[in-house]
Amino acid sequence: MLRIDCPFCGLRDHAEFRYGGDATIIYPPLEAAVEVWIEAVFWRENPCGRQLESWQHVHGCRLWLYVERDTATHTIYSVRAAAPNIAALFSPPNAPSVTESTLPSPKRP
Amino acid sequence: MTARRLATGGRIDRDRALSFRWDGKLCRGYHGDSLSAALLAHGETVIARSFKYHRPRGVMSSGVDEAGGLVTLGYGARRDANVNASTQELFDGLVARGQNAWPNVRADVGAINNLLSRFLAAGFYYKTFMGPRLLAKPFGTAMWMNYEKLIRRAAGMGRAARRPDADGYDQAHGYCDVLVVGGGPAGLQAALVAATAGRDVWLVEQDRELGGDWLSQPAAQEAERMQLVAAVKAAGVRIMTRTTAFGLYDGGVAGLVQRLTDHLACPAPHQPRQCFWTLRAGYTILATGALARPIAFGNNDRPMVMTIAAARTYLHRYGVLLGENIIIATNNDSAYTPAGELAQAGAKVTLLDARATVDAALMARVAAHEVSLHTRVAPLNARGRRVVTGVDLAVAETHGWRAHGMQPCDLLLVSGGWSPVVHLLSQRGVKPSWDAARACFIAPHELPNHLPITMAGAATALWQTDDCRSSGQVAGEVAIARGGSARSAMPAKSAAPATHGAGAPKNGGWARPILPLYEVRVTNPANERFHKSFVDPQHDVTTADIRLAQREGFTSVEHLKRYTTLGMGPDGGKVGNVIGLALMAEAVGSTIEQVGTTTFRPPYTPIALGALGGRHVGTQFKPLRRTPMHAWNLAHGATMTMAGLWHRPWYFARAGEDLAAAYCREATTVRARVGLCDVTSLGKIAIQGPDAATLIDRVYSNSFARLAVGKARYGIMLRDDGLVMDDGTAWRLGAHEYFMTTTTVHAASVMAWLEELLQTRWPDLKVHVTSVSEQWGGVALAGPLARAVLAECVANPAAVAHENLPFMGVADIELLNGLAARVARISFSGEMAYEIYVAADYATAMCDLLWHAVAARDGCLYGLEALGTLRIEKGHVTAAELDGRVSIDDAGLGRMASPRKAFIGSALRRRPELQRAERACLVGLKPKIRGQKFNAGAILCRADAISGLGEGWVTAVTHSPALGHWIGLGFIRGGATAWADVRVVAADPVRTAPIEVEIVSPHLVDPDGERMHG
Amino acid sequence: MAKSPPARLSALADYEVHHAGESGRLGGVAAGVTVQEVGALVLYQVAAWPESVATVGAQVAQHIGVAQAPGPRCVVEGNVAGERVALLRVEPLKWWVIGGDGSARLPTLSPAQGTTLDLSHARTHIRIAGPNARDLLNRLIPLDLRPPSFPTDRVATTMLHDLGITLWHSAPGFELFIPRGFARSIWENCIECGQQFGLEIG
Repeated sequence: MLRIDCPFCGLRDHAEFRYGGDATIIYPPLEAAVEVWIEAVFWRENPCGRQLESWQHVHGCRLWLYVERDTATHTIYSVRAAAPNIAALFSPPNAPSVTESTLPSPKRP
Repeated sequence: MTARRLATGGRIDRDRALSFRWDGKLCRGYHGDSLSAALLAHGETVIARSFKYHRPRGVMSSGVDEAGGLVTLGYGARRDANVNASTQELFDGLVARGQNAWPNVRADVGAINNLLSRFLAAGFYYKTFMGPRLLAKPFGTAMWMNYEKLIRRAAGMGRAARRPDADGYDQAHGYCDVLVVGGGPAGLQAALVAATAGRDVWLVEQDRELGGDWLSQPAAQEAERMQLVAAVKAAGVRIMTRTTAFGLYDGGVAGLVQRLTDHLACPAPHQPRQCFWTLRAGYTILATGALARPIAFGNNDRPMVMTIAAARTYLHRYGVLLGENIIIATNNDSAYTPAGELAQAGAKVTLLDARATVDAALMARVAAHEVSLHTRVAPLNARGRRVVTGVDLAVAETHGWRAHGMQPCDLLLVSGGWSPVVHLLSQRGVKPSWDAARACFIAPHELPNHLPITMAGAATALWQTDDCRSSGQVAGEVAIARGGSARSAMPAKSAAPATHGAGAPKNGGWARPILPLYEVRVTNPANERFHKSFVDPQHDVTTADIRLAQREGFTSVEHLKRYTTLGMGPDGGKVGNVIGLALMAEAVGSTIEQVGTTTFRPPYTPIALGALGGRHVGTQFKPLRRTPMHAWNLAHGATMTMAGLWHRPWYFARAGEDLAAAYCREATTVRARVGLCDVTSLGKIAIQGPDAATLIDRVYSNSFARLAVGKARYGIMLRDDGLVMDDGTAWRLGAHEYFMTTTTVHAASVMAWLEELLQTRWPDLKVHVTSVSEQWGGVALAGPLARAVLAECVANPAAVAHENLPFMGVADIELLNGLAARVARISFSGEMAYEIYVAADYATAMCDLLWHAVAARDGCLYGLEALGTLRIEKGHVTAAELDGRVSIDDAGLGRMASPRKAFIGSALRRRPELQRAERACLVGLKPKIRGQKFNAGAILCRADAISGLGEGWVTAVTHSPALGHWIGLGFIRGGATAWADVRVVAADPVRTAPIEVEIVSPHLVDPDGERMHG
Repeated sequence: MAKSPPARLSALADYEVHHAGESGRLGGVAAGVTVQEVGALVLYQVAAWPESVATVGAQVAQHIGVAQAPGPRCVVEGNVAGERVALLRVEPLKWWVIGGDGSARLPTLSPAQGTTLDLSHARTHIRIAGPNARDLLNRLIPLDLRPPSFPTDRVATTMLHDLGITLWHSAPGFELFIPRGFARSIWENCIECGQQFGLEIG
């Protein structure tokens, strides 16, 4: 089973995630020509080795992720949030904030 | 019978006698016995019949490699077939029976197959598919197929229980730093080292006790075992006995099956039988030991022919001495110690060593116990019909073997060497390599860096206990150095690859090397005919079968396996694979290295299907999704049906009504008066943020830019490829806030799609999407009297007047009972209708309120079936039509694709394939003879050409109360206009005769929509 | 004339086992786990934009009287107008505010700062506690619950029987937030699976 180190949630089973697809595709503007869209939607590489792919942590924080994975060994080299402005919030990735652990935490009655 | 329980010794508790039944007979054993030990102590030598030839079989081993002693346990719903008697713990009241035999294993009519064996050789099953050509149909192949059914019935294992499994099973998730598989000397030591260094360690052992080979050794070794076990426990290792690591997977994941009640006479009522663990380990140490390997020779499957290792286990662990006059045949040093021990226990022992020279110290050791030793001698044929009575011997010559007399015996023990258990590593894609010096497959010395795994102990072909323990020490240290933390999945970049076996003792710790010996055979065809020599006893694969496969061209190991079924029995080839590969290598004039081995696959030992299902059975097969009005619907007479995971009201039958009568009445009532329907299952998404309008306008094909606050609009979403994804509505609640509804089916995928767009393509858009499907309970209130009902139920009736809430208007309205409701005047049924939502916990209160007013007007509750009728009459599409292959034009909704804006799918919607005029388009269907009925799923064909895929298909049908006959929706090439003058039938070959249909517009009732706008 | 709204009816309210066990025990003699529904959930979502996470976090923290908003996967508890409120960082841009009452619960956010949303009825709140709570939970969810990985006041969204649920390790035990429609199905699962540990229904 693949385990993916979600930048927000930490290391989780792939069953919590949903596979997206080739993350190197840059989707053209909506106004782009049919031919450009055909290229983006229908043409895919099928590499044996490293591949950048998208996954959604659908049963977790619902982040869309870019995962760099070796298709032959299933080794995962990197995981980051797909949206750059969200990825920027998690560097270094997967480090829970220390603020709350230093805070006295009032308990519920 | 000569097997007997010794007065003392063994790990059994003689103070706890147990009784059990074998084939109906009351037998006794002791706590600590395996079923096989108790049977052997009772003198039960024949306990099974073989798979194909029905040859008598007895216990061959003492562990998971048992190839002979498969029995049926229990009865009724708890009958379990093919249970390994050697690993089954004895408990009080156990009931076991022999299997694959009639009337019983001792006198089995099926043994006739042994005489027919000429016709049952390797590949016989495939050959029966080709009947003799001489016979004309139907006597040719057909006759052979019948014959094959008989053979199939006669061949086989035990019969599965017919009733549903009475036991429960758990599935659990585990996490640890270091997983150690195998609780022998190596595994215990490895676990101790890792745990002492502070690692969170799980030690998994398939046996009920820790110790591995120690458990089969004399009592003198017990102190060392107990000391190490105590240290492991004190170090905080989590010990899982009766647990098998049956598979290793990516990401340091191991599959474990823990047997919780299989050894108990009376399990607690809520105790699951087994627990299937998915364990994530930072690092895994495989200390899985080695399995004793037999040698092939004539009748080597006779009861009381078994491995030396097994006899040693029965002696030291169970206090059972299996014979008085024992012949031991070996090709390696490992037989000498047990030979001495068996002699010491009181048996007469003859040791045959196939090798020419033997280490002097070993010779002295067995001589001290009066074991007579013969070198260059091996067994040729076992004698005796139902149990071994003697052995024909063979003597080694320069090339091969020569028959050389006979010697009587009551037990024949064999050691052809040991096979390290490399199964789990092989499952991870690491090919084991052949070690010619030690005559076994071992793991490569260097494992791939991405695998956080190392091996230890006998699994690395170390044959001495002390060496195994030392290798466990090394493995534990490797695990510590390589991280061994379950909290990181990334490969440790700096760490060197795990190596093992460096500095291993010569010959695996034996004084003299093993003599590779897999089969003893003389070149005499008659001998082979009369004395079958088994490679894989579980599937009755013989040495002759291997050679036959070679002659017929099945020389690759993968072909060999499938053609002969070698290794495809319950033991997965633990006994026979190496011999089979060796014989194939010999037959093709190659080496075992070159022949290679087949891929090992999970599970290592059989696991119950129930454990794979876990609690996902019965009503929990999938989680049931209930609307907040679930109980309310049931209380009001609903019959429920599944819609995805949702349970929805299907129809509300009144006295004497069936489904058809109920839904026709409900649909009629909605059209004539008013009806109330639970529509909670529709997907609902909150879309919030300054760019919400931009998102909405990009994802829907029709224009939303000018949708005013307080208005809703029906919309179609396309996929990138231009096909329809979903349809639904969007309600504009504020400048920056929308409430989107989706179909029930696509709720989750639309949500994920919006998130994908926002996060991967348009991260600059400030929009949050949140599923609120569960927040709201919703009803549709539909029919000419809907407004009157609603007006009666709201605090201010003017709020729902036409001018305040026109068609497609949205408003937050307070209900009469004080509830805040979100109301939109939207129609799916084609009637004047409202969708009304309140917070879910108040949904039944809303239903009570509305139903009172609906009932007062002689209205009804309606379910999914009537909803279907109403929408089919209107030609409204659902998931049945929008099945992922349909373009917006195909669905007749082309007018909803805005030409004035770019949206998702707008480019590829115009690709040539989707613009072809002859694409199948949505149409309405009516039977030509109005009284006739046709079915959804039927194929639309020209009346004169009913064949193939036809011209189209039927997606939905219903009886239309409004029209008084059956109607349907479907797709047909070119759409309705192309078929105006052509006879078309709905062809439904497996259900009904073809029904002639009229192809019409899908808008079958009220095509201008006057009713809902009213 | 409008009346005050009727009482809330939870997803488990009409389910007989929910009450039958109140004074009884299922399974073993000792109660290894207790399972109870915590009713009348008040749950609001506060969502920020990537560039306003810090300011919105600070605003919410101030509102409930704590120094800082919780970071990823963490929970802090404070109070608003004398009522206990828990703040859970459930998603990269989203917090859940649980507990409290009345309109003072949330700070007012402009669209440029973020959005708020009432989810009080979207989840059913179940608490699992007792010495075997972890054992039961690990038969249901694939989450590393070992104390160093999931200490008190940590929150995670994970999978239970193929659906997403949110789990908060609170002082009394483990707080599960189940999508409402599945609550009864999951509840039954907990009850059935928990009996082997000795189960008390709270």
